[in-house]
Amino acid sequence: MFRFLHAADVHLDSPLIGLDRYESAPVDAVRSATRRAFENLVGLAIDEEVAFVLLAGDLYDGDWKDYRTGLFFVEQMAKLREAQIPVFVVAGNHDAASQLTKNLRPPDNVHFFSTKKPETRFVEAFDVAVHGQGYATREITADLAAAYPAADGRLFHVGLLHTSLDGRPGHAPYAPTSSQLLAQKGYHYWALGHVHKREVVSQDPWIVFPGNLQGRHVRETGPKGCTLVTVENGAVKQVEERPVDVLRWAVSRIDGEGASSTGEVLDRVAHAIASEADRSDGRALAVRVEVCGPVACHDEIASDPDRWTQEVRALAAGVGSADVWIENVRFATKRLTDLAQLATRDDAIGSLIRDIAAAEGNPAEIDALRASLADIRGVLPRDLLDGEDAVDPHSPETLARIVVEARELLLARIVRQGSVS
Amino acid sequence: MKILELKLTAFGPFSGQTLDLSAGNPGLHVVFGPNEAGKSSALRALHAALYGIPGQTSDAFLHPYDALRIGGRLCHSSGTEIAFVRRKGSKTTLLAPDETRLDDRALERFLGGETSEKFEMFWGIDHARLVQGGRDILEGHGDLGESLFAAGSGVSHLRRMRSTLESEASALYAPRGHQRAVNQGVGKLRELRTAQREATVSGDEWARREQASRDAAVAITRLSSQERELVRERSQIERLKRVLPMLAERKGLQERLAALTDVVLLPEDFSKRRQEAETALRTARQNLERADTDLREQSELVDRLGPTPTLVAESEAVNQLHVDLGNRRKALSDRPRLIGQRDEQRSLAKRLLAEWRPELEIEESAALRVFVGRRARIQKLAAERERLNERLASAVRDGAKATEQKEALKREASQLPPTRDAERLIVAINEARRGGDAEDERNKAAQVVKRLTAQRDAGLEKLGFAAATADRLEELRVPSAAVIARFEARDKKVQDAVRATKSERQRLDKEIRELNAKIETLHTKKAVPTDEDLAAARSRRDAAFELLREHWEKGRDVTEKAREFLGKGKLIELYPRAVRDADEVADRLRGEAEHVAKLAQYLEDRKRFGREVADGEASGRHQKESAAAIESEWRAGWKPVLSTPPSIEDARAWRTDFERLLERSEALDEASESLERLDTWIEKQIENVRGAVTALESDTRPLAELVATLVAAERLRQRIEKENQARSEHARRTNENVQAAIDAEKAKRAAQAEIDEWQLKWTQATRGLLSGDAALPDDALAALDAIEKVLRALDEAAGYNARIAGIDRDAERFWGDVRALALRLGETVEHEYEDQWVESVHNRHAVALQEEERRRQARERQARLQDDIARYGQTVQEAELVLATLRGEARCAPDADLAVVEQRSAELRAWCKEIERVERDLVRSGDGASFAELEAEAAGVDRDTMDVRAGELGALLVEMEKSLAAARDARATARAELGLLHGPSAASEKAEEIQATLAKLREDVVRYARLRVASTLLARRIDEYRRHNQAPLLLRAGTLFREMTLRSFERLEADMDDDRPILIGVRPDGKRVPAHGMSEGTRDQLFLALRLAAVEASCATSEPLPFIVDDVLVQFDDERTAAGLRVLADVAVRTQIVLFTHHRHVRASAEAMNAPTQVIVHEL
Repeated sequence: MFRFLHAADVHLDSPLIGLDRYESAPVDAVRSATRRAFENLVGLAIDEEVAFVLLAGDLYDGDWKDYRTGLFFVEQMAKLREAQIPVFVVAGNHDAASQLTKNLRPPDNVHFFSTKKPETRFVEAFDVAVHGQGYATREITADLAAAYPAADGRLFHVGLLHTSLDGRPGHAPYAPTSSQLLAQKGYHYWALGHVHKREVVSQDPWIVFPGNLQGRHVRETGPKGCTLVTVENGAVKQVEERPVDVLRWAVSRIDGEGASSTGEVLDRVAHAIASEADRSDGRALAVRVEVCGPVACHDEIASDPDRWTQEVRALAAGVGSADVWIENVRFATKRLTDLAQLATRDDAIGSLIRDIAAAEGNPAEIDALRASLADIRGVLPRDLLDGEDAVDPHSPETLARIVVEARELLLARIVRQGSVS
Repeated sequence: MKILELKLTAFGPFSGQTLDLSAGNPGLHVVFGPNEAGKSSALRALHAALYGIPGQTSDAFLHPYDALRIGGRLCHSSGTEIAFVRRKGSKTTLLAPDETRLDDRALERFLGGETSEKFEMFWGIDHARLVQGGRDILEGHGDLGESLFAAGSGVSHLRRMRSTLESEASALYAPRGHQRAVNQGVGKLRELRTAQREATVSGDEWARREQASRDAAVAITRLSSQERELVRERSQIERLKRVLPMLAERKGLQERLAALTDVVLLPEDFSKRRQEAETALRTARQNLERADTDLREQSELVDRLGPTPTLVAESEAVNQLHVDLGNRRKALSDRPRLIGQRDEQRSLAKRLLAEWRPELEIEESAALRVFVGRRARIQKLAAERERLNERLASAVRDGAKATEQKEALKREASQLPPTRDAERLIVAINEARRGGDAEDERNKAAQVVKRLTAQRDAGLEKLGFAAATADRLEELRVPSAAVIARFEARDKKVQDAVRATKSERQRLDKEIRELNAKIETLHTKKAVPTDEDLAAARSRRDAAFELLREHWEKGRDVTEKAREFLGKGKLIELYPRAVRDADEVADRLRGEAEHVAKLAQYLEDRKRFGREVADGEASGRHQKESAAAIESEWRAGWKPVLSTPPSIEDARAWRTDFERLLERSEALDEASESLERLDTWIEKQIENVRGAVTALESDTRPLAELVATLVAAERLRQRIEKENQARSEHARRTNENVQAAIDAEKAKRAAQAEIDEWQLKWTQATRGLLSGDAALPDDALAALDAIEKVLRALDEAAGYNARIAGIDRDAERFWGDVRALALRLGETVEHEYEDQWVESVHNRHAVALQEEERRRQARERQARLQDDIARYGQTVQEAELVLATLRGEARCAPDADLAVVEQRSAELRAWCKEIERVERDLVRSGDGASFAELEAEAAGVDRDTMDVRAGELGALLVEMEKSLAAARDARATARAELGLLHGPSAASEKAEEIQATLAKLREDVVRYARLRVASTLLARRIDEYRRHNQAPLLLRAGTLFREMTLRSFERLEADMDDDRPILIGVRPDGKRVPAHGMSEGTRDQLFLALRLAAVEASCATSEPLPFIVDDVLVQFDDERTAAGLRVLADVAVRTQIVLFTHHRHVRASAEAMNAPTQVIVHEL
């Protein structure tokens, strides 16, 4: 009987995205999260006395140049060397682009598989053969697995591969292959990497994406870590998910329906955050709060969403057992009365609502709104104009969202102004 | 929607008040609250009634939360009405007037879809909002868009809201603002990126530093090996300089040693061992001598003491006898007392026996011991007898009591009433009750009949029938619905024609009025000249010319003539005027030809309209005839039914009422029948019940009502029931009495039987206890006590006797023991002196024991001395043997002097030690080389150049040390640099900071965009609203403004100020006044005019809602207040206006308007 660890997509020293360092934010709790997760992985390998460790690609971010990151990797590998644990690594698309790999001299217990052709290494003490091939360039569109040798039936065979398999949403289609082809090789376990969400693709043979080691933004929620595999009599006996992350990401949706006041809405938010924190096993928690539903206090919230965001953040500092970081607060509450009802009358308010609704399909209006945002757009860095978290005020999606928020802000202020005075 | 009624049932200070707002069309309702509290509460109540009572309310101080009620009646513009009640709560707050549940959305249609906030905002205005509206106009410099939008939405502070949006946005970002969040974020991002780049360590840099570290290590290795070589050479020279003298000394010592080869090297402890042996030998010999002397002395002492005497062996016997002697003396002194006590007990026993059994001797008393054993049994029997006596007595008592009771029961039986059967009465009561509360029902039925009769009579009267018609209603031939419809159609046609004619006539009248006005205007402007006027002017001019020519050519005086033609003045002056006049008339005739034509047209039109009026009047007459014909046909149709029929338009309602009357009449018949049925039934029941009562009690008074009859019957039934109960109770007690007598007799007999049985047992137990046979329990117990005492005294006397005999037996044994001892000691003793003899032997025995002790000690000492002598002899022999052995070791003759031999040996040892020391030094200074190696090294060296070479080596080594230190420094630096690269990555920390900054920036950008877009949207909407509504709103608001300002302004207009449309008031003289040129009060009026115009506009397109005005006229003077009320009354033609005020002058103004159908004053 022996065990081995399978991890992938470590992305060492890759920063966490989307965490504004507001005043009470638990900054220290999440510093160097990817490093600490990797240390946890190494500690786990030593504690579990595993036979070997598999790293299925993307140790670093592609455009990351700091050599210290490589040194950190070497130091960690040295600890495994002391514990006499061999490590098998294939380069992924990010590693292929990385300059770190070139000058790095890892200890002799670490083997980087060839990037030119499939290669096989043996762990003789346990009768194991590990097959693998790394990425020579960033974009590999060929099926690397096709050239892997077939199993010879005597040993326990492990295939190590960085691949998108037959396509996974949100992931570039690199080294595409199919479960059928992998099954045909006769291996016992395919240790895959590249897809950040954990997935057991098949159990015969075992084809596993362990997911990435540490979630880095709010789209990577839930426990993150590696896979611990137990082998007995030449067959996989148990496959366990072992979280090693130091920070959990979560999205908490709170339905405010029925709440009579902002206080009550905040109570619900506090309760939701606390229960998310309880689920994070004592780790720090980064949570996006989304408040929705028809509420009586909609106008109070919509007239000043920033203030209520601050309230939620202040609230988070005092709830739950773990450190909680409020990544963002999205208010999508609705007023109890229908907007359409307000729009029916032929007066200033009615025409305001109708006109805003009509403005969304009116190119002249859209141009006017764009023009009002041209100044700020001009100073924004590229990061904010491209990518998944972009807030380009000229992009139709962002503008549409902003128009809806602006409409709610406007109406809420008008209604509050009208009834308060 | 119009509020017909507002019920302040239980709210704030109100309890049950109602505001009737149904008058007017829809009307201006001025609600006067004598104090502000009443007014504000009523305002809140109105809002709460329509939209619900807020969760937190200050209006529950008089009525508790759950009792709060407000309500009302609303009328939709379509004519439908709803009455409702509002309670406090979160849902189901809307109730019908009977408090049944209404759909929570039942009011929605009446509220025209307006939300609570919107209603408050748009359909209401108070003084503060009025003033704010005026102020906003001023602050916005009369911005037209803003003013119209504020009035059209009811939003106050619109201007402040817009500027807040702008300032919030620019707090986040400004194109050239360095302190703004977004600008700062962008700058910080740039700095962080630079910092990250600088903190990044490239792979090449790492390789370079590692190479430097490796190079330094190689240099250190090389230098270290060179240094080691030099050090080795230098230490060789230094060593030789150290060891050369030692090698020489060692050689000399070795030569001396060679001369002492024959000397024996004795062990170092040899001398010590020899001296110790000699001392031991000497001491042993002295001890031996002393021991011999002591032994002799002890032997003599033993002889002197002689053998042990016999008395010593009898120690035990002597001591025992001495002890026994003491005991014997004490026993002899006790004996006489014991004899006395024995005799006393015996005489006590004798005395007691004589009291109870004088016939018995004391020796026979043992026979009585048997009763001591029976004591418990006798005592138990004695107690048993008492209990049995008690039981017998109790049974006798019970018997006597039963007999007494029997007598009493007999007396009671004679007083019980006779038996009566209530069966029939019960049946009758139950039957009557089955009818429920029959009389109540009958009364209700009677009321129904009464109510229906009244309703029918009222119906008859309303329809115009005589009361007598009631019986033949069904036979009446009322015109059918179809007939009525036919008449309605005909009537409507005629009425429509009349209305059309009338409205046409009004139109014509209006047109004619307008034409007259226009003609009048044309005339008043200046009389339009006619052709005749021109001809007259021209003839006057020609006449003047003729006169002038006459004067000039003929020189005639024409003054008179001129005056005749032209009036006063000189002809020379008059002529030009005549010419001018003629020209002027000609000019005017040409210039105003249009006017002339218009006038002609107007006159022509007026004529035409006059003809049309005449035509209209003819049609009117015709229509009147038709109407009269219809009317007479109508009356004819109704004649059989009614002498004065209803009008055609009322006929349908009349017919509906008539049908309802028929229905009611039928209902009345049914109700009367059922009343009759109930009466009959009640009669019958009264009779039944009364029959049953009389059968039981013939003298009962009859009652008229069923209820009273039933109550009396029920009372009788209860009485009979009570009697029956008393009888059965008496029977039960008699039974019990008989049973008690029987039980008492049984108990008496049982007690007697038990007493007999007891007597038998008693006789058995006490027979022989006393002299006679029949012993009483008390006597028997006393005798038993005495006998026990006798037996106890006899037992004690026997005990004393036994002790006296023991004393005598001990004295005998003592004498025997004395005699035996005397025999063993060979002495004789007399019986009477045995005591003295025992004392003497005891003393002698003590002396003999002391002597025996001295004997034993002398013998022990003798034996010890003999052992010592043997041991000392042994020691002497051992010491002599040691000395012989030492000589052997020194290989010398038995008589040789061991001290000399020892001295030579010591000399040899000293030389050996010297050599050892030199060799030790050599080893120490020779750096571990062997003596042979050192000697070989010394043999190969040039002693003369040794020092020079040593100097050279020192200098070389100093140089070498410097080089090494430099190399080590280089290596340490390289290592430190490499070490810095381990550990946390500064670049990754910067990367994390970059992401944090981006996250903040992202939020700030979205916030900014939200505010900016909101501001832009609002600005554009304001502008758009202005463009679409400017014309109608300004026109209507202008009219209202003119009225309110008492015509100090004529209208409102738009103007441009810096390309921005602004609001302008126009004075009657055409002067244009911008907003900032108006007084504060005027601006308030301007805002009110705009608001009212917007409200009217909204009413025109959607369901009108009441406009709630809260004391906006307070700052107006009386005249303006009146003007304000007039304007409100004007708007109240379109929708209901409720004006709340607590100012008397406002109420007074409203009352002074004297328009009770349109302006209605209420008081709270």
